[in-house]
Amino acid sequence: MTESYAKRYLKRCEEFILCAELGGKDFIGIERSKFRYTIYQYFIHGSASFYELSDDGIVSRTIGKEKQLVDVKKYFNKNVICQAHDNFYVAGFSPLDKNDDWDGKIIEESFYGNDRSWLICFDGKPIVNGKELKLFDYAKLKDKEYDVNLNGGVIVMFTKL
Amino acid sequence: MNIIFRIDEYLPETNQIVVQICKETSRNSIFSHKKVAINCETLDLYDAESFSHTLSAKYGSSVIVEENRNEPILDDNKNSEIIKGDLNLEKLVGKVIKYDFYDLQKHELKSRFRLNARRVEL
Repeated sequence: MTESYAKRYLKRCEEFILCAELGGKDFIGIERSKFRYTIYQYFIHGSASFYELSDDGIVSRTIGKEKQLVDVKKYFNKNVICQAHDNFYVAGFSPLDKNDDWDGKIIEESFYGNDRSWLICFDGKPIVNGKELKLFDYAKLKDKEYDVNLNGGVIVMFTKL
Repeated sequence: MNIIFRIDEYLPETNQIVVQICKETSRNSIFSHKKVAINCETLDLYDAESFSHTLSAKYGSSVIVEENRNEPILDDNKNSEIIKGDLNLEKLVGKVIKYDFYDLQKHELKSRFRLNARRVEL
């Protein structure tokens, strides 16, 4: 896939919106501020740069790289340009309530959960508490132990602050 | 506004459904709308939400657009105009202005698809 285009996917979940964008190298996209509520992005593959547009021109740039969870809160409700450097597949997390702040972190090992958090599979087939997850499976966590076997996959925990 | 549909028949041998679709606020009963056979292979059958979404997006929206276009326009609403060029708000006071709602929807939603994300219990 080398065409300069992107397909966008979206699902409204209980407390957040999960989105994904699949596109080609050199794709340039514009996201207007009224639609820009993504606070974390994870590059399943590929990479891209984000630029914030303001009345003063381009005021900041962030490079999202493969296998990285990127905090993009500074672009919240801003006009943003995205430029893909490679063919890419990126997942995004946006709060349903725009006033809520969330913390996101990649899970590396077994952990103790809490009921303010959600777990989302962003790659591969990790196994959590004996259950094999697939891409974009998500679960509400509880105050209990979670046994994690990453199995080459990626899971991210998002916690409402 | 909601889209409603009624599955009249499921034909497993041809993998088709026969449905009636209309908008919830339709002035005609859903039972009076024409029946359409839809090939299930054209739908996303991942789960019930995906099914509803693709059926509504692929077939429901065109039915509703057609239904809306065929609805009579009240006399007071007939003399609306499309505005172009420089904006002068003072000159627009009192005028009835129109904008194509479906064109608006097309621009905002044309490249959005449903993400197949599944909630699981751990």
